[in-house]
Amino acid sequence: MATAGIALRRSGAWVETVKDLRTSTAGRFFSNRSNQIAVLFIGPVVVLALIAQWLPIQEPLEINIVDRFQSPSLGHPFGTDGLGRDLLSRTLAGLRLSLWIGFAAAMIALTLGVIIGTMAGFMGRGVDRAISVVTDVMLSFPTLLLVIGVVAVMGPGVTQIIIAIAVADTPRAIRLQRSLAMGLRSRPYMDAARLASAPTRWILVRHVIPNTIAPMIVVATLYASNAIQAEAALSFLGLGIVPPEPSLGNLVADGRNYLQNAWWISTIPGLCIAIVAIGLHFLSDGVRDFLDPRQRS
Amino acid sequence: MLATKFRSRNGPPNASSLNHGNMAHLMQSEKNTLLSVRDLSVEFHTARGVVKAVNSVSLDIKAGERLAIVGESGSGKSIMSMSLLQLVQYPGRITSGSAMLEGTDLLALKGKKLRAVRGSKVTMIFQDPMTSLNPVLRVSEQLIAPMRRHLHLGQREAKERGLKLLAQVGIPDAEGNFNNYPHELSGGMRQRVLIAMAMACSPRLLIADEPTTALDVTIQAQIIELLAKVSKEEGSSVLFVTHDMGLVARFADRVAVMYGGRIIESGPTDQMFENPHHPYTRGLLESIPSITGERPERLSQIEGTPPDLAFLPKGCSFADRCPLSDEVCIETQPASLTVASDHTAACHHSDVVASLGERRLFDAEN
Amino acid sequence: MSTYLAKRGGVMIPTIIGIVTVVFLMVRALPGDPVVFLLGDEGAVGAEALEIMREQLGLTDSIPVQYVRYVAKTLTFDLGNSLLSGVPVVELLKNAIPITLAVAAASVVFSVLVAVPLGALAAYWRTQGKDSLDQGLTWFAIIADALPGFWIALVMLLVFSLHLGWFPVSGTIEWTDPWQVFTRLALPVVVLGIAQLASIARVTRTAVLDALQDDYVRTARSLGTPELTILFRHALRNSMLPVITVLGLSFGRLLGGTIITENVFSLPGMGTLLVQGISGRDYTVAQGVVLVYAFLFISVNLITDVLYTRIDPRVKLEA
Repeated sequence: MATAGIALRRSGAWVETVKDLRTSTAGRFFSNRSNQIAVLFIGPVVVLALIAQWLPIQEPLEINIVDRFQSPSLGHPFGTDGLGRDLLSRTLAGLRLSLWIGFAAAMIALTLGVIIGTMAGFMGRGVDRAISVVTDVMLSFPTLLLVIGVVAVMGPGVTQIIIAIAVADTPRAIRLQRSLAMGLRSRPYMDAARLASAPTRWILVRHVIPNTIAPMIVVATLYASNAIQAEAALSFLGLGIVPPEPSLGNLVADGRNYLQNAWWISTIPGLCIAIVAIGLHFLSDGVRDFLDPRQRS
Repeated sequence: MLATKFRSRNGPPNASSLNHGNMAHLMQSEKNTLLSVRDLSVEFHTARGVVKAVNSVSLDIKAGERLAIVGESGSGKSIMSMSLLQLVQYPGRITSGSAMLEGTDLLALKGKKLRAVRGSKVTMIFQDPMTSLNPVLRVSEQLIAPMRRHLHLGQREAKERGLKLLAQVGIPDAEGNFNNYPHELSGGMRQRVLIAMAMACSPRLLIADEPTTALDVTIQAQIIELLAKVSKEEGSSVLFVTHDMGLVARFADRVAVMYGGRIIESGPTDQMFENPHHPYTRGLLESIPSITGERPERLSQIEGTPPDLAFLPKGCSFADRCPLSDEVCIETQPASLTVASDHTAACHHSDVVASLGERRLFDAEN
Repeated sequence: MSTYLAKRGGVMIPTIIGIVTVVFLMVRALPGDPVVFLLGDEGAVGAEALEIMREQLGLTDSIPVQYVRYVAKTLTFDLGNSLLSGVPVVELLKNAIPITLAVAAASVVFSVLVAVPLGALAAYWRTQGKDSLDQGLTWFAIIADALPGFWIALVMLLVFSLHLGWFPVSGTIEWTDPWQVFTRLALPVVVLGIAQLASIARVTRTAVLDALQDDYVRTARSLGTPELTILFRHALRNSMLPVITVLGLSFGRLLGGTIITENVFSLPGMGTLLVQGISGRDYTVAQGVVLVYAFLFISVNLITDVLYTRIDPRVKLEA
């Protein structure tokens, strides 16, 4: 690929050069071993979850009593549950939901964390103190407890769960962003910008956020993984997604009563959670290497 | 004739057979030789390749003698000294050699037998007293452990002897400091504790690896005095590793100079200082300021850097920095030859170096 | 030591006030009227019944008055009565707390006993050029982190209780019968332990690997100290600070884990009480449990700090 790139650049075609740059960025991303493992784990899951509705499988909610408790077979690769619903279809629907919750919760925590954390780092002692007290109080609840508490207040539902998980992750994101921003305060280019009396907002947008975003994105990947786990735990406890709508957590919970006779109902969705989590683990390693090669361990 | 005159130490294997020509001399020297190291090599297998830190080093230490090993950082002197107690850790490995101490080969010992020698017959003190004591254990615990292990003393006897030792190494309020944690002691005090630990079982040989480098200059002298005093009291030999020629002059009976993992010159301290036969030794001496003011206060410096131990040259490893080097130096490694009584040097031009007199071999600074 | 504890306690006061406030507000923020939820709407029971209930629960006063009363009651360990059963919440907690504490504490002990030697050995072997245990631990950590706790719990239940029949599936806990307690708690403890094992082993490994490069290890070795003593007495002791830190930090996760494991293994601990409270809209119960969890959590953080000084004499107690 590199040789081809050089040849193209020599040919002087500007468009080709731009394309070459793009492919080399992607190339760099996928040449990382962690990212390769991540793609191996998450890739098929994501693709299947996204195209599930066009696959020739039963609808997630379609009941077919005659076919109940079918063990995994060609017709039902993941088997069927007590109402004869196809578990592949339900698992994929649950996965799609999990991925959405993971993505959305992580994005909210990331955005709020960056904004509030930067404010804490740059808006003076009073603001910093106030923000610290609130984050300290929030962090003195175990995470799952905080999520359960918020869901208890707002009631079950996808949006509520996303908000609950985001609320639990945000204090951590704020703390990290605050410490990253604080670390930047003494950098020479910050002094230079301040001496040139650049407006604070400009300094924050131009210098602080770009220089702190890489580690924040890395932790956001982990937040996504945690969010997926948290949703599963909530739904498993019966406090999250309410059946019949499938979620990985309530699928596992549903299989609890049939553990001995229909092991597949609980075990397969549980393994799917693990696969996504392992994928995200490697993705966060890979993203870290990709965004900041100096941090590589 | 040749056999007695050229007693080769670092030379090819057949050189050792030459020694058998003079049995009487050997018996004589063997009698009071405490440690006899032959052909010791240590290698590190790293990603860069094989780093030859120590290359077939041979040396002798007589009972009660104080031998200084001198060299700059990276000359292999520390690794050499640590390898005598097999303290070189993975990826380092002793690849050849023997170190005979009173009939046992230190390098062949394993497990229990090795541990029985460590800390009793042969002990060691290290460069940085600040980090050489375990921060979470009291001084007493660390001091007593080797005595209980090697001398099989009971708790009370060990404590008694420990207190005596602390007083002996000049620690004020031995009773009070006994139960302190290391961080409550100064660097000099900690080195005294380490010396006490090393002397606890009256070792035959004490290896001191740059024991004063990390200390204040004023403390350095005290520690050296102390080492001299305790080793004399216990009748221990000392292998003293340093880069400080000044300390060597004060402390050592004999000197061995290391360069590129080899001993390039060794002999009695006076002779070495009076009449060095290796250009590197000469360079080291020319670079020390003289207190007596006999020499003009211009100091020489040796240009260049020590050799990369992963890529040692075919010939003399000092050739690229040596003003005397010629084709022979680049092509063939000089064997270690006896240049005077008990004085060896590994240089093709040792006679030239010896005849320099007051003239300088290396250019002065500026 | 006691002045230090007092100082630290002082620092904790704003947090404690915050926790109590959050717990109080959490219930006020509940959508809908708890009284309606409890009794049914006006059409069903009549406005008068609702009003009486409201009066009983003190919901007719203004929020600040309710708040002050709530704080005062909490300070005297009065957490109200369960809305469903009428039993004082403190009574319910009295039965539930020991179970949760026992499971949590036992799982910490279990995971430390397994993970610390494993991590130390992995580090030691690595310094000797053997890194298979090290790599094994890394993969174990990744997988143990990824598998959801409730899934591991279910699989254990399936294998050890349902298939092999080694442990009972349910039943109350009689503290007077140690064997019964053991069989009831063994699986939950192991499940919770696995989640912590991985991170403790990893931290131990890294810290011991660092410690083994330290000079005092070389000193100890030069004095003839046996390798096992070097590893466990010298290197490991110097590695306990990060291990304690991780234990403290992962305690929140551990408490979350107890909620799930208690649920799977039908243990009547705080987690079960919490889930019942929330599902049944029994908000005084939920409130009480959340409060206890939060207090446990911050107390453990304090204990962690005190433990530091026990392990490393260089750490000075400063609030």
